[in-house]
Amino acid sequence: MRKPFIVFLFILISLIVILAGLIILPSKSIQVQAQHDLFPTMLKSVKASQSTLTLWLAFFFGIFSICLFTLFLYIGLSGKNFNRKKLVVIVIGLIFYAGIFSFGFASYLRYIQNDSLRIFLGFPAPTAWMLYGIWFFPLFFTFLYVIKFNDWVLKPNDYQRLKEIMKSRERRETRNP
Amino acid sequence: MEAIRNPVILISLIIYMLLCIGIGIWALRRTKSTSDFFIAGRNLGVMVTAFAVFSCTMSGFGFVGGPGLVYKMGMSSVWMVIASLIGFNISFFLLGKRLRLFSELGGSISLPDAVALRYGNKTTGLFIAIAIIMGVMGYLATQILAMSIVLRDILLQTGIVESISLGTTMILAGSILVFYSVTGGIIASVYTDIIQGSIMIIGAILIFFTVITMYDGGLASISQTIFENDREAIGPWGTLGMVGCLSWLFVFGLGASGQPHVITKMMMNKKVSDARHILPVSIFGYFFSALLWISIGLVMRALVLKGMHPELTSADTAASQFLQYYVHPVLAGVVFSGLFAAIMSTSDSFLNIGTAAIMHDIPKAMGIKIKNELYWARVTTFLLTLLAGAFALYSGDLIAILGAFGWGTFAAAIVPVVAIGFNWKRATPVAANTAIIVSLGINFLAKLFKITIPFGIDIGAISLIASLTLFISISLLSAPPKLDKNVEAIMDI
Repeated sequence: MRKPFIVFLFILISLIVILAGLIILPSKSIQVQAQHDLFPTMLKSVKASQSTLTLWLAFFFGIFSICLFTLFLYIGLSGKNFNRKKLVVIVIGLIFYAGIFSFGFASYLRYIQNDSLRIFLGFPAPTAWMLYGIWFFPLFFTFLYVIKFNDWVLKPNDYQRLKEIMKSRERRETRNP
Repeated sequence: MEAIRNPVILISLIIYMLLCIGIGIWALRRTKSTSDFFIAGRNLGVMVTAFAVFSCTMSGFGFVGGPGLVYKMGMSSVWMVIASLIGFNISFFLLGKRLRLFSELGGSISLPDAVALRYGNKTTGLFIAIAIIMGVMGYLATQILAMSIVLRDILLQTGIVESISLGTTMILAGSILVFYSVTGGIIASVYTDIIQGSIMIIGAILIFFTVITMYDGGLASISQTIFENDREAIGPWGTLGMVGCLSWLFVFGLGASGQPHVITKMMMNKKVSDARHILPVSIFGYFFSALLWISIGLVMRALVLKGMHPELTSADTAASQFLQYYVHPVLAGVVFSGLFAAIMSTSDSFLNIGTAAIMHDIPKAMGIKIKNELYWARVTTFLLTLLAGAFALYSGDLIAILGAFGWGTFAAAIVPVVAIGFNWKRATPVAANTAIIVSLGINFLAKLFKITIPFGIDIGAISLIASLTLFISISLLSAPPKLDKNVEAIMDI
């Protein structure tokens, strides 16, 4: 169980490096939004903040965040013994999750370069990727949790083990009240 | 139809409040011990637990602040909603089974109780209790303040009174909250959550359909209007930009498993295996109630940009203005009750964990034994509400500091220690204590000195990365801790 935590530390250090890069590296503007010209209770975007370097650093921040999310899921799912099936399914989930995020990012790069608006199910294409893709994809993990619960989360013999632990605790408490 | 709008809103609210009082009286008979008061005797069914989990996650912020943020910033704040789905998954994968097992093993009635058992260290439990109290004071005070403002606005709008002070509405709303929280503890809280959650889901779905049918051309037309004014606002990152939004995804995605008022509910279900069904029900409940957050904010921005609605006096009035002018009176009544419900369901959860921390966890960590715990739990609940109310009225900027302190602070202090520590035998008490202290320090100092990070990066993300890094590094560099035999066995399940 040591390996996942080495990977964990690697991802965290990568995130720190990216954040440091965003803060330290020169950028056209770090101001991302300003008060709307006509409606003071609204904000508007500041175009100068859209440097390519900023966007790519942000993209990798997103990818590493997704890696960390799936690693958390794996840590929660992995039991005492290593199980290759669990790892494979979580890695497949990670590939799709990160893939959807990457497609959404590519769609956003096109969105900021083109003047035309392509609507998909009520929203501009990159927003639709975000809403219908990144938001909904974790349902895959929910589905996994529900259908594999008895095999991967709580096996039938775990209930027996729990009873034994509780009995052992009671015995200990009776001996040392 | 317009003539009945205000009476209908008022009647809906009165019915809702009477239901809460009724549940409080019913729960009084079922609350016989501190275990009943704090964790419902670990006897809750799937639906009750699932509704409690999602309705206390979707606080008043989701019904008032959420639409206001979408109106103000476009799609940016939707990332908080997007993060929720992966957040629920992470919480259940890591803690759905584990917290329930620990609670059973140690007879734990609170999160700090379970933490002290896991680490075999009372100080770690004490630090978690202190982090909870700091977060609870800010959160609870802001929720009570929001509840009083909403009630005052409703009473003024309905014309039932010509003027009423905030203090008076705070006493009115606070009395209902205190009544059912004191009499029925967490049992009343979770059963009112069923009503509160149902109102939130029904109201949000109906509002979503109202939005897409009332605006000519539906969602596509709303998007077009916002796009023509500022394309970034309806783009995936809104006006905040990509970096800031992803920092929210990070802190709200991982941080969900560190919200004590939410994860404590995972100790309350009857069977360990209930977690299997609680997860999907919670997710769907949250998903449907989040529709209100997104739809009202977008349509109000489009209406104002098109000149079809006057500019709002403040972004936070987006939801109330929409309900007042564009929604059928009965639906407005339901949603106003839903709004009140959202605030109350979060408040009662905070009251419960705050009371447990003050009355049970801190004395226990200091070796003080309290007689007649149930009586003192009720007294503490009452006093904590009074204190939070006074804090809301008189603390000025401090309430804003502690209110904002909430989510990110809980995330940074609790995620490493609980979400990771309960699944990793190698985690040490020293690493846990360091992570809690550092995360509290970073968050508090950043809020106190109003430190902002470029690109709108959330300070919660910084403190969470810092506390996770310290927690893992210190644990890996230390000698493996010697665990209690039963704790080790539970962690092997």
